[in-house]
Amino acid sequence: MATKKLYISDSLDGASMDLISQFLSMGGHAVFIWSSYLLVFIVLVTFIILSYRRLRKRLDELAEFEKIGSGEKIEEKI
Amino acid sequence: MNVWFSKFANPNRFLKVSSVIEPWATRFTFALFGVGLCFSLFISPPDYQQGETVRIMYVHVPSAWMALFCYTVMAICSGSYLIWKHPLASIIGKETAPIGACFTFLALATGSLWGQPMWGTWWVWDARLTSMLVLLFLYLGYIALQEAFDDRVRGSRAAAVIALVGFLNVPIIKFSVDWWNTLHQPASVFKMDGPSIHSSMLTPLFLMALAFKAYYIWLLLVRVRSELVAGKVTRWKQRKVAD
Amino acid sequence: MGKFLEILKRDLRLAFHQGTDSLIVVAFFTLTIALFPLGIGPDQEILKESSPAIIWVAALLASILSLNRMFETDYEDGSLELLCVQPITLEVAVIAKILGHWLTTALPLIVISPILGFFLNIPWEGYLGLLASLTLGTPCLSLIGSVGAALVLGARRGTPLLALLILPLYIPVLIFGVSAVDALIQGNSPQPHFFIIGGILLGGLALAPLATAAALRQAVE
Repeated sequence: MATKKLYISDSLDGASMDLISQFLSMGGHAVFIWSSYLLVFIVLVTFIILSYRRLRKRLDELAEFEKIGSGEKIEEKI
Repeated sequence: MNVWFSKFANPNRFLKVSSVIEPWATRFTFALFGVGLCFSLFISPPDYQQGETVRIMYVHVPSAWMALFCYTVMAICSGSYLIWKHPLASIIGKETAPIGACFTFLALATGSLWGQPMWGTWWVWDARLTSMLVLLFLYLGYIALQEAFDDRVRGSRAAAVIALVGFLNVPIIKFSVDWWNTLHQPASVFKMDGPSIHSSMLTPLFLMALAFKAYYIWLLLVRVRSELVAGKVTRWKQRKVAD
Repeated sequence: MGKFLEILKRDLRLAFHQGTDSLIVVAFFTLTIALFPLGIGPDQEILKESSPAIIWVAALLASILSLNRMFETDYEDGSLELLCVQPITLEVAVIAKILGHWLTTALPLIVISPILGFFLNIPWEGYLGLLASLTLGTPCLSLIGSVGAALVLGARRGTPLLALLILPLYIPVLIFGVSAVDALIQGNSPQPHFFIIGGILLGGLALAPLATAAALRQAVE
């Protein structure tokens, strides 16, 4: 049982390793293809993260002002 | 400044609509990129001429399309801002510019990475690459002009005019660069007419193009929201100064 | 029409009185062209081949350099506001300003360009083409440039900003201007090139004053 299992997984590993390495090498042009996909990925992800961070900062700023503002209003009413 | 914000038709209405669209844009971005990457990296076959490098096309061409699309959006927004003076149009145009510049940069960079295995050199003064380079400068000029004034309204209006002028010029520049390229086309350079597009390539191409578009909508909504919040913050600051 | 000539005369008179503007542009043009042989090397063949391009690129840069003078002094001393309220359409007044600018800064370049072509060893067949293409092309530069000059009024870092805005828009004029001269040197017909530059000139004449006037109204508002 154990040997059989080892045998199956072994052959699977070998075949899939071949497939993966074949896929990664991209017919010898791996550097160009992967670096262009990576570049696009990095730029798009960085852009969205920076935009969210800017939004968060401004929302915090606004929340602070609104807190102070509402406090002032309450004081005036009193 | 105050006039600018009091003219603001209804930012709350925009925020309401945006809060509905934004999560969907996010979902569509992830889903389309997931499926699109599966198709462009695994399912689509290598080109018979270009081999695996054709896969760069699936990020390069959508980037280039988005670069043109963003400039068109900018020009439409600029036109409507100048005619109807709607500040939301100005904000959308202003926030689209860096995104478009980014896509232009990506189109140039991936084009260069595609050129190295295809032409054997990182950069050729190919008509398409050159036009894209000019487009990048048009974006940078728009952004720089917008930021060059102390008065924000003046900056927005000046930028709107240059966006329209640039938009009118883009076809002329494209035409002249094509003409120049045919005049100076060296015979030895591998001429890339673009891969002959099979339907097996169209699927990943359109999926990726849609993914880029969904990403653009998502990013734009986040940035416009951020700009609207910044406007509110400025008003608070002014009120504080007035007190 | 009287008002048009009045504005033109005023600009020409100012330019003649000060006199330095035209001189600076011509000096800049000559110096830029002199830099190319120093950079490339004194090889006559290479210079001959690239001389139309060198002269055209120098003309583009000189045009950028002179552009910020088109409206800046008027903007600073307030006469631009007067121009906007005068009983003449601003668009027409803008054409007068552009014509004045072209006569005082671009015309001297055209006059001096054959001498510089001589230094660059330009072939004889090219001279007429050079003069013709500059005569047709530099008004395009002034027209396109006027939009930028009006837009950057009151901006920070006006001149470099102007270069960033306007140089990309100059590309078509550069391409067809140079290829017209090249066509003549190589014995081809330069007619299509001249037609296209003429087309750009007509289009610019129709559209640039509109955009410039709009930009000027924004600046004085």
